[in-house]
Amino acid sequence: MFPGSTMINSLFWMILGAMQILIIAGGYAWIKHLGKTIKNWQMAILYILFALICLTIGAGFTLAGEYESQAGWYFIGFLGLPQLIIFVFLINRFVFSKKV
Amino acid sequence: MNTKLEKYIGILSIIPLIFSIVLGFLKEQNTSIKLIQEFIPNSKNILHYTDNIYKVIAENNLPLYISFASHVGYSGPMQLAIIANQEKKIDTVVLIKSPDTKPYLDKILENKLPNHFLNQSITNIIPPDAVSGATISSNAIIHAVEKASHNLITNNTVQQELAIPQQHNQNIKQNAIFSSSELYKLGIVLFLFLSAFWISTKNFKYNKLKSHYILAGLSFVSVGILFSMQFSLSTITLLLSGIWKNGIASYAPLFALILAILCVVFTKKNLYCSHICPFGTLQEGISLITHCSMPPKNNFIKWITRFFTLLILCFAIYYAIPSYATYEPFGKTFNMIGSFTLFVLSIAVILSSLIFKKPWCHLLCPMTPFFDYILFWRKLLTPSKKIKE
Amino acid sequence: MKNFIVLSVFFLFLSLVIYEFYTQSYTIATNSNSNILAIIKNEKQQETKKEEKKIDYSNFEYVEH
Repeated sequence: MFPGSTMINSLFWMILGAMQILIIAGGYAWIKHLGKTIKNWQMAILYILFALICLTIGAGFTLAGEYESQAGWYFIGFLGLPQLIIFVFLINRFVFSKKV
Repeated sequence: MNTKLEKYIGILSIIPLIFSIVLGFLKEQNTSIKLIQEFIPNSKNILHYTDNIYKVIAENNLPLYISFASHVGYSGPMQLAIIANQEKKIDTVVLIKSPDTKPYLDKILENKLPNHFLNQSITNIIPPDAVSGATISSNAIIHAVEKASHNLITNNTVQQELAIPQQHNQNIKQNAIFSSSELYKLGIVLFLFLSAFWISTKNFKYNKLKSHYILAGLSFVSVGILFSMQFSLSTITLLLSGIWKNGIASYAPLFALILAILCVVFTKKNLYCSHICPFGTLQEGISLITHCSMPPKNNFIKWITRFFTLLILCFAIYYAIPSYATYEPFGKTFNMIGSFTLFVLSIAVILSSLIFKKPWCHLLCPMTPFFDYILFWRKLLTPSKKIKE
Repeated sequence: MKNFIVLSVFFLFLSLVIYEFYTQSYTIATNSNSNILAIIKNEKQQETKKEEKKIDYSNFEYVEH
């Protein structure tokens, strides 16, 4: 990630890992703020989908970095779009279709 | 907007349409001699043998034989010419005109399909394989080259000059009008329209919503994914510019367009957009996830879309090239046919379907102003008599 | 707020469509100037005989060390 450095790479990935906890805790806080509830296994599925979307975007831009920009955009479009739609569907199903 | 002003704009907007149709027909047809002078510059002594066969003395004083031919492609006839030299070999292939969409032609040229014919003997053409993803356009070029070489070798004068024996009885593929698969597609379109009409009637006994979803699903699979029979602004261009008379690969989209127009004229209902359009079905299906509502009506958007549709339609009709009017993302969404920009547009439309119901239909689809215009003329020419109570 | 979102989505679609026409315009411009789509020519490869270079060994001397 950071070529030529000793510590920055490790620090970067440690911070990124810590941010995941913040993202999940923030998700729970946001849902509580909206007055809704969510089960842990549902949150786990949503987080996995979120991670997959991030991975898809990362992979697309990796392709762009390898001078295959059109392939990168098609990759994000083809894989990212269904994931995004499933993500919205699951949020609707798990969070907004329930009453407090 | 003032209804009187809307009425005057509606009536006056037929004028540019008529102008573009008339000017398109009157547009100077490229004579063969002009074309020859363009692809063989400094050519001397152009000898006319038949309407499609010419002999030219090139710069190096060697004779060249030119044969013009055409064969039906995806959106109309593919016109080309072959130039044969004294050794009875094809020296040059010239693609003159094709109403097919640019991505198909680019793919064919990238795969060097016409290059396969170079240096082949005109008495024995070995056709190459069609380019996958552009099969119909490839076959149009292949059959047109076969026709051109057949016309050349069966001409008596050319036979004598090039010492070609007379035994050739090649089976040259003629433009087929209706194959069995074509009749099958027309049958599916008719069935969908009849079902949509039945669902929309007052006497329909069953659950209208469920029936609508079933019909929309069937249409999505058949019209959209399996057979790509969806019509668009390019189909309207095809109809109004008269290109369909010369033959097209599939008449199903044109048939669907005519049925849709007839439904609007006789029943005042836009059955295609409400029940059959596969792109509309896709947007509707995605908007069911968030249960969103239609975008609020906006006069500004409505008139910009109408003006844009009229402009593009007139432009495409004048040049008589339907692919100039292709800006809808239908082809890209269902068959991956189109440019990268259309891919981005289809992604944008699908994502906006999560926010609004049928965003493309209500915002920029050219079919909405087209059917609105037909309804406008119907109301104008057949005013309804309102019974005052 | 909803009107703003609708207008921005509309202009996004419109700009993509206009960009699509801009990229197509090169084809349209060239088609209107020229009546031909493409010319595929036979590039004549000049046949050059491979000349075998004959090395003249007459001036070579074998030097003994």
